[in-house]
Amino acid sequence: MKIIGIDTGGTFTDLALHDVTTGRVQIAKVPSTPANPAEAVERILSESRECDAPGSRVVHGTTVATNALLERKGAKLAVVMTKGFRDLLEIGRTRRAGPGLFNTRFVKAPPLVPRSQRIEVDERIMADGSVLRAPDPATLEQAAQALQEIDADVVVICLLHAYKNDAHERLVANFLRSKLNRAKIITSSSIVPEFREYERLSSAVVNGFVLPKMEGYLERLGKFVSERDQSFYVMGSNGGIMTAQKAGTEPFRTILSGPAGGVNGALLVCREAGVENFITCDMGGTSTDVSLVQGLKPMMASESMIASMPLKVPQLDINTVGAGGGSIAWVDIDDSLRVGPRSAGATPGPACYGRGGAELTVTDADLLLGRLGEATLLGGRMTIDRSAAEAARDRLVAATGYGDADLLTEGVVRLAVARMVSAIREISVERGHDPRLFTLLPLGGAGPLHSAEIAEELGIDEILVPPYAGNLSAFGLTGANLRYDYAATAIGTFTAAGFAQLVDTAAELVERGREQLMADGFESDAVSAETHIELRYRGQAFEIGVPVTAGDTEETMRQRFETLYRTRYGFVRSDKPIEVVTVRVVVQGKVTQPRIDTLDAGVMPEPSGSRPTYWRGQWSESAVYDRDDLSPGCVVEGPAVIEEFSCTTYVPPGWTAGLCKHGNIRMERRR
Amino acid sequence: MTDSDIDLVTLEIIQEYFVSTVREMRVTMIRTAHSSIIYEGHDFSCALLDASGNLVAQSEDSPAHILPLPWQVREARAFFGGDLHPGDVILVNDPYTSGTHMNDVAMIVPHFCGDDLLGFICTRAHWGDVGGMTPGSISGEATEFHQEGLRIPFVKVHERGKPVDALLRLIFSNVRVPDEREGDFFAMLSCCNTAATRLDQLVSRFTFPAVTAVMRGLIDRAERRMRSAITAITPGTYYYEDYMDADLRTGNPVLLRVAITVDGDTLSIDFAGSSPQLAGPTNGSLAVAAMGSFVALKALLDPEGPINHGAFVPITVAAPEGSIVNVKPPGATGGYTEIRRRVESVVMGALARAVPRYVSGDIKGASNHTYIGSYNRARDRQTIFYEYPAGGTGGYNGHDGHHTLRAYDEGDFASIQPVESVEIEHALLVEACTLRPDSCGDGTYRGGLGMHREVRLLADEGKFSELSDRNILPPYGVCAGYAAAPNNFYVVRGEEVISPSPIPGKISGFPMVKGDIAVLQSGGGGGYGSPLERPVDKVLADLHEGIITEARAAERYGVIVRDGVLDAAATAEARAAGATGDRGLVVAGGEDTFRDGRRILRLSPATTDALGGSGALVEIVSDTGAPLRAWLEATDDVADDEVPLGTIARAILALDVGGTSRIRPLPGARPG
Repeated sequence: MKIIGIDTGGTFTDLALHDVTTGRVQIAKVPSTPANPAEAVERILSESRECDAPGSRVVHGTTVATNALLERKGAKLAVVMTKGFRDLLEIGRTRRAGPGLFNTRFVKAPPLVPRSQRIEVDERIMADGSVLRAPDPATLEQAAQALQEIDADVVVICLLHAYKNDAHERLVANFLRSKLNRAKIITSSSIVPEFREYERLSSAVVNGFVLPKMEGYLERLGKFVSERDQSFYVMGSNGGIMTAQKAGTEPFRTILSGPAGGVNGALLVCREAGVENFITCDMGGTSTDVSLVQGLKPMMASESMIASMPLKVPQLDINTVGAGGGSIAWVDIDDSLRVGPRSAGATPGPACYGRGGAELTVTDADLLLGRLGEATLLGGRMTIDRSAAEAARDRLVAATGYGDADLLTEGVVRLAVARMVSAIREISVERGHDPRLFTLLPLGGAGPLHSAEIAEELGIDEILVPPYAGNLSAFGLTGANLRYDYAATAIGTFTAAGFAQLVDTAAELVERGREQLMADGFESDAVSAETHIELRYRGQAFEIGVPVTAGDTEETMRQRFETLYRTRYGFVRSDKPIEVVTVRVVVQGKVTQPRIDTLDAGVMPEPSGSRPTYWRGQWSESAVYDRDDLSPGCVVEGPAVIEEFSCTTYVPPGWTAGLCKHGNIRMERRR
Repeated sequence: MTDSDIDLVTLEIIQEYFVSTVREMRVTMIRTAHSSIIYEGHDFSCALLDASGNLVAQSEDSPAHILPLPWQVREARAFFGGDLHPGDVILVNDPYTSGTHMNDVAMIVPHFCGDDLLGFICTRAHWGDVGGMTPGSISGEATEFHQEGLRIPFVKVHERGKPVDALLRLIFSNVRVPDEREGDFFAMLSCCNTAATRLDQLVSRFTFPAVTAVMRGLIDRAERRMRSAITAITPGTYYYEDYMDADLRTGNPVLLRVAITVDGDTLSIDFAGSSPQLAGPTNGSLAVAAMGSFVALKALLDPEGPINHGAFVPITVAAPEGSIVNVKPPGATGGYTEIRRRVESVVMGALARAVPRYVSGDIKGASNHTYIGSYNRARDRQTIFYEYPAGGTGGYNGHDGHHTLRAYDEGDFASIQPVESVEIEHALLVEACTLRPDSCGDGTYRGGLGMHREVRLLADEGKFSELSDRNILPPYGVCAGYAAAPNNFYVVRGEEVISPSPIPGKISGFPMVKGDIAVLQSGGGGGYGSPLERPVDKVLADLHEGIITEARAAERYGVIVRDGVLDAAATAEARAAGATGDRGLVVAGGEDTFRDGRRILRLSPATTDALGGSGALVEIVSDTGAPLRAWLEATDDVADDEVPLGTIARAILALDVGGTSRIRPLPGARPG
């Protein structure tokens, strides 16, 4: 069997073909088609060799849902709420969800559903799941009439305590299905069967908003794929893949589909290289995504904010900072130098792209410092306008009145790096991890160019630059497991009897996942399941996920909770009662991992060239190597530059770089 | 090393480092604190100060805690003189030495590199209890600090690295739930230790002189930034006055007056003429007044710039001793936040005309602390429901205010809980949580709507308390925009609407019975500009969205809609007629008269009656700034078409004798 990973990036659409029988991987690349990303996907699938084998599995990493949300181009929505709660989506928890301290002119994006499209139904379920008022037929009828007039693409129903008892949501949904002929109807409890109504509503609304676009997109591609007699999967935010059908109905699970591929690629590379603890730093044009992996397990989050809206879905804990290659350097009114968050984007792009960009970007600075080669951007496919970069630099020098142009240019890079370092500190130091014990894994076109500088700031001594660091996502897709996450809210004091019941609930959820995987064509021996229950001390608002293993008792769970609590908070409160909040189950279908070829040792090649590079205030002549010329055993002493098609690795003075047998560049700081 | 030796890039990198250090302090505090008000309510702040006590860095902390710190650290320095050593840890909660209220306990740690003082690491956290006459220490009934708990002057709780056990025992013997307090104390210590480690790393990398030079450089830069913003204001003295709803003793409003003098690149603020300190807990130190002033100034002058001490340097603040804005012992201070919020309103009102760019309609202007205590049988325990509902934000030139959103002067954390959590935890049923139509201040750019939240008691009995303000005097609009609906709290029992306290918004343990509904209504945001200038299509959109009613559209916006259909002719006519509720009067010379905490406006009997009668509250509208509020008094000395205004009133309104003023009735808040 073959697994074909296809990742849609901003510039290129990448393909990786993994032959499960041989373990071999091949890659290909075509320009992306942002207006309709499906075109590039179909093209690369049609044009690439060996991709037509029937029975192959196509795995797709897509940003269609994310972009629809960020650009706010989605469905016309209506929501149906419990009487008295029409404005929940707008009020939320009254948070700005953005920095606005001291700002009287703060602007929050309007809710995705305007007030006139928010309808109420008179009904009420209580916290214990009992019915206080059954849905009132008159208000139901009125709601149906109002919804007919609104004529929404998607209707989201969110009723209070539906996580506990979804009977009213189902009843209202069925009634509306009989009354509305074209709207898709979503119940909040089918999207997030957990308590906290705003987060549940927001997630369901996000899902509804991106649903028609994503469904249409996946239907088109699904048809294309199935005509080739292949099956079709989509990467989810949780780092696992799901059927395209599931992604089509629950697209809110795919918001991190793009970056998740990269983290998976990093996992594949590091597993082979024997690196278990690492921090990924995926630096693109406008932003940088960082994540932390410990013991080959990526850190997960159960909730995040996207476009100022909470999204309750298990996902990789990826921290994004608005600094990338395209970030613009500018001078603030107090004469301070700033980099980003404004970015030159794809158009006009950095000044050196020669497309009219007049301000100095990080990429321009890299070029002027000699770290980025003139002829090497995208393998020379891109012409570089050095004089435009110089002109932008000169303008910045004049604006700052700074004497030393080179130092200022390096300063622009250092400031961008400082922002990334802060982002990494947030996911490491601030969550109790010492970054010095981790390997840095730079990804993205601009990652390997800045990795040594980031590592030095964090006290990291080892960097692993994987092959195709600029396009690792497609490769990652080919090794991702199928993964389904399930949850059930079960609030109450944590007791022995309660625990037994939780174990039963978990077993039911595991069974549901197993059935799904069987339907996906998985053998039962390739299926694994993990259960967590989320516990807290009574009166707290935040829970800790405690893993459940076979043979656990209420007492062993309590001990494990206290151990985890102590690790996170430094103390425990044994006198306080413990409460259970949610049961979470992860069911995975294990996929055979792609093999990474080992390379034969070779001799140190001659440099392909040499040019001066600037580091810490000094120019020094630096050898330039072509990555393809390097083989295991070669050691490059910094300062040096290693170039390849999709990225450039800068090895500053004080660092050495060697190729390991799996093709990774391993950079180490000389001590 | 001089400042000019520090290059631009190093400055920025160390600035980023400082901010991330403060953020790490915050995370440490959240991870280690023992009480939920800290780890969930985030009622604490962290900061780094230089050796002179100048604020160098903070994060997105609540400004209320942080901004008084520099004053406090400088007082601590003066108190200890040269007697500060490595390993010393100072604790203080004294409100009279630049503190806030006694629940806010500050830890000040001088940080040395060798023998040299690098700066101070500080954190201030709200302790759930510091002793006093009621659990939680804050009481609306307190008349002096002795009733509000243990007053801790500047004391060293660690001396040269060794804990002063006797003192710590004394402190923890005088607070309720001492183990929780002790846990929070250790959380504060670990939070400061985190910063100490980070500062040591910084110094070892950049050297001591470089780090101190950067601190100075950052402060200088912020100072330049603030000075240039001040220079842009037309020099002169700007006045304003505002009120807190009521002195609980007398029921009279509590007057706060300000005069702001802009002279070149400096700005001085004087609260002369403000109310003497009250017998109740609504008093603040001069540092609190300075903090409130600074929050408003920062918002008006330079909201984007970094927050450090440089921004304070060009600003001086003065207030009469023994006033609500410069409280002296033994005045109680538990409710200091209400002072701080009114200071913000009054400073923004004074500069509204001078700095039009950032001026917005006023906000809810109160903390809205809401408590309902009851017994939850389902969970077999006594519970206390606690929320502090946000209100609408003010409209400003270019944009409407937002509906029920955290405002510019607050940290960004939730002000209400999920309904589903509330109903699991408490014997309460949340019946509604909606926007409050028509609660916006109307304007060309209208304010945002407040919130309407109904909480029904399911237990047999419960106690409802509220600490709020702006329940009588509503948030003002600016530039002829209208005031918003004030905060409003009441109880519904069956068909009956009950006012739970003699003075609105100051409710102390109102006994609720099963089935009662506590109604919490937060205020809207004030409007900006005349609503008659608001484009008709935007008014229609607000109608369509149910933000305002047809009656409101007609009354304030001159947009006549009947059964959903716009009457274009009637609309044109109504808009041409102007603001019919306002009364135009000719300005005459007069005195600025205050009585019983109120500005008195003397008008002819006929005019007084037309505007609501003697004792009615009105505002004199300003097209270019904030309105002036006053209470009517009928007198025969004044003609029907004139209004005598004193020099301060004329200055506030930028009106000359002989000019025309517009008087607008201000209907008070009432339940329902």
